[in-house]
Amino acid sequence: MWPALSFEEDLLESNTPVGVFCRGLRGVALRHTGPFEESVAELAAVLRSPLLPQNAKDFLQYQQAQSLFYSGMAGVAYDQFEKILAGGGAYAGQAQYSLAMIDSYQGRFRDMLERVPENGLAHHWQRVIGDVHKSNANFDDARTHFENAAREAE
Amino acid sequence: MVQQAIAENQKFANRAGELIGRVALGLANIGTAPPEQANNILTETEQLVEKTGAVYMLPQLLATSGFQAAFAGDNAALSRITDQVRRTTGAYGFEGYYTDILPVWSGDTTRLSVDRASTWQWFGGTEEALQRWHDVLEARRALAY
Repeated sequence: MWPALSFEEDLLESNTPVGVFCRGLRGVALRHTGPFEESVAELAAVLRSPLLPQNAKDFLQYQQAQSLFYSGMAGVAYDQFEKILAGGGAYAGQAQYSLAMIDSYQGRFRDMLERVPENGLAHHWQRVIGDVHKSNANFDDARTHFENAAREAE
Repeated sequence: MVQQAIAENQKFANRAGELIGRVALGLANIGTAPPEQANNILTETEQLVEKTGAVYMLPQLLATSGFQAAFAGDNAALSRITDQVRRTTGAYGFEGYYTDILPVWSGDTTRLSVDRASTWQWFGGTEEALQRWHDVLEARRALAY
């Protein structure tokens, strides 16, 4: 999947909205392949471009916040996700999930559960609920949620 | 199953997924496979974390090494690793709750019985949660080869 997000150099160097967006996707791919800090740098550079349409910018801003978290900048990522959530745009739901994930990583386990939406049965929510139980050594509950996540992802 | 997950992630160059699988494999091997096997997996994982800059994996990786030291009854190593976890989680701002968990594996039962105020929102309270973590080590010892 991630190697498929590699593009021709000509396209990546082109000063067009498509070229800039492809550089953003390269930044997203770097979050999975590493080096992780290059993902943050690439996305930051891309987001400064005036060529990006707003919907592409919204998508890449969410991705940048993810990369910040994975590069060890949890506090900065948290603030960015909160802004995305408050903005109520297309990525507000994902930001809610990412904030729950950070709550869990930062040991705010009960706060994390309060973020689960009423329809929070989607596989990614099941996974993060499984994680919070795992962190609490509630392995039976964790297993139930991980199995639910796997079933719903099929 | 874990090895299959690692291989699938390697096939798609998904280092993030590969790292999660490697830590899980290292953890699964502690006490159930020869010590050098678990050591090798953890060392290789550490190198991959360094290469990719995936610092978010460091607390879990260190906690796994702490579990390995506790399993071996090496309290000096466990204490050293706990300090490393404290520094790492402090710097990156996540998974600091491992600093509560690791000391309960030292065999010092006062770690469980004292009324400890914890920064973390443990399910069922700090003492109950840490008892569960203490039992994890005991359960692994019972499983050991």
